Amino acid sequence: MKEPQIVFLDIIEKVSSVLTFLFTSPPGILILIASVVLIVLMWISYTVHRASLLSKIVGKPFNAGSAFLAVMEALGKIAGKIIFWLPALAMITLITVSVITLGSTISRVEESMKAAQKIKDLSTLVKNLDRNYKVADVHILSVENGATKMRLEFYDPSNPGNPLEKKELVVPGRDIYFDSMVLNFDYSQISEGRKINIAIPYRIFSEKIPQREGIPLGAQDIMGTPYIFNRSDTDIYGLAPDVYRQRLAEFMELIRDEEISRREGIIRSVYGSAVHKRVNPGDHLEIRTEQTGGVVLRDVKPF
Amino acid sequence: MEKKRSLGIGKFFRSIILTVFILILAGSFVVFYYLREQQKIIQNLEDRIKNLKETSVPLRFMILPDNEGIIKARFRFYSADGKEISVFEQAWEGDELVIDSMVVPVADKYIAFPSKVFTDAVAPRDGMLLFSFYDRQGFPEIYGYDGLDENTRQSLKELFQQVISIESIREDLPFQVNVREKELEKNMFGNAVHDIKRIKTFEKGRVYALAVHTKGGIEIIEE
Repeated sequence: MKEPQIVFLDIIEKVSSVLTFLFTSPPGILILIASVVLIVLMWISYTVHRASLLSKIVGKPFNAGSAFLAVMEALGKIAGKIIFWLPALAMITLITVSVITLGSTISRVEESMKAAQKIKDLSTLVKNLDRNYKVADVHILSVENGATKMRLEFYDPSNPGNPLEKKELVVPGRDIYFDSMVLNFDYSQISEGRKINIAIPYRIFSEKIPQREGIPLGAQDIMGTPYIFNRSDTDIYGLAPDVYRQRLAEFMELIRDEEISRREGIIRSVYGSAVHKRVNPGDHLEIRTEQTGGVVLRDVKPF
Repeated sequence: MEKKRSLGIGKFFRSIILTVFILILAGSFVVFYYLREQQKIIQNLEDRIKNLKETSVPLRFMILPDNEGIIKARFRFYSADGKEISVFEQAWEGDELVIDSMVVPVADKYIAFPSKVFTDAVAPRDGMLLFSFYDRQGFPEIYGYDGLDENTRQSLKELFQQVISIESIREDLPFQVNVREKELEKNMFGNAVHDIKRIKTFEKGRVYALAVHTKGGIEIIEE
C-alpha cells in the first residue's frame, strides 16, 4: 500500500506525462489541433444552422451570403470569447505548465536519487580498484664488494600497520629481484570488494644469480611438505608466522581449484612476478599489490 | 462592493498561482542543474574505472614442444593498435620462462618496455635482450599507432632511448648517464613475470599475453 503523498506525486507525474504528450509530441499536438478545429467547426455549423432556422421563420431565403455572414459571426464570437477569457486562459496555461514542470521535476528527483546511488556504487568500485596493499618494505643497508645488504619487513594486507616479520640478508649483486607468487582475481571480485589480489614474496635473486639459486623466503606448504625448492627450515630466511601460512593456505586452495575458479570468473591470473631495481645504500623501497593487477615496486620518499 | 471583493480574491489566486509557478520553475532548474552535475560525476567515475582497467599488450608468447629441461617459445610483438611488429623463436635451458620489462611512470600512468627473456636457470644479466624486436629507428613500435602525433612520438622515442641507455648500464656497458636518466632510473623499476613450476607452468601450445596495467602492474593472461 502506497503512502498518500506518494499516490499524489504519482498522479501529478501521470497528469504531467499526459500533458507533456499533448503539448510536446507531434501526435499530441495533432490531437489538440484536431480537437480545436472540431470545436470551431461545431460552433460554426451550429451558428449556420441557427441562422438558417431564423431565416425560415422570418421567411427570408438562406443563401451563400447569409451562410458566410453566419460563419463570420461565429468566428467573431469565438474571438470575443477568447479575448474575454484571456486572463483565465493565461492562468490555465500557467497551471498546465506548472503541472508539466512539476511532473518532470518529480521524475528528475527520482532520477537524481538513482544517480546518487550509482555515484556511491561507482565510487566504491573506483576505491576498490584504485587500492594497493603493502607486501614488503625494503631498506638497503649497504652495497659493498658486489653484494647488497638489506632489511626486509613483510606485511599482511589485513594488518598494514605493523610488519609481520623483519629479516636482514645479503644478496650478491646490485639489481635485486623480489619474487612473489601473484594471484589476480577477476575485476568483478575486486571492484565489489569481495577479494583482494594476493602476492606472497617467496624468493630473492639478482642480476648475478639465476632464479633457481635465489634465496627462498617462504617456509613450507599447508600439507607440511617442504614448499619451495625442498629446503629445510634452517636454510630458509624470513616468513613463518601464522598469518603468512593462512595466506599461503588460501592461495593454495584457490590454485588447486583454479580451473573451476577461472570458469566461474573468480580468478584472472596466477603467475610469478619479480619486481627489481638497481639499488643504492639508503634506498627505501616498498612492494605493493595493485588491485587492478600485478605487483609494483615504489621508492618511498622521505617525509 | 461584492464585485470588488471577488476581484480581490481573483487577484489573490492569480498571485498564488504565479508564485507557485515561479517556485516550481526555480525548483525544476535546481534539480535539473544538480542532475546534470551528478551525470558529469558518473561520467568521470566511469572514465576512471575504464582507465583503471585499461591494459596494453605489447607481446604474446607460446611455449613450443621441446625436451625436458629446455624451454622453447615463440614471441610476437604488437603495436598499440594490434598490428604484428616482429616474431622470434628461441630455446633456453630451464623450467620457468621469465619475461622482464622496464616499467616507467609517464604523467599519471605507467608504461612498460619488455627488456629481456631468461629462465630460472639463467641469470638476468645473461638474458636475451628484447628491445631490438620493436625498435624502429629508435621509436618503440609497441606504442605506435596510426594517427600518433609527432610530439608524443618524439617523447616516446627519447624515453625509450633513455631506458635502453639505463638498461645498458645494468649490463655494465660503457654508457654515460645524464641527470634526466638518473631521475628516470630512480622512478622506474623492472618487473620480471614468469610461471611457477611448483604451482602452475605455461602450457605448451597455449597463447599467453603480457598485459601492462596503467598503474604499473604487469600480468600474464592466458588467452
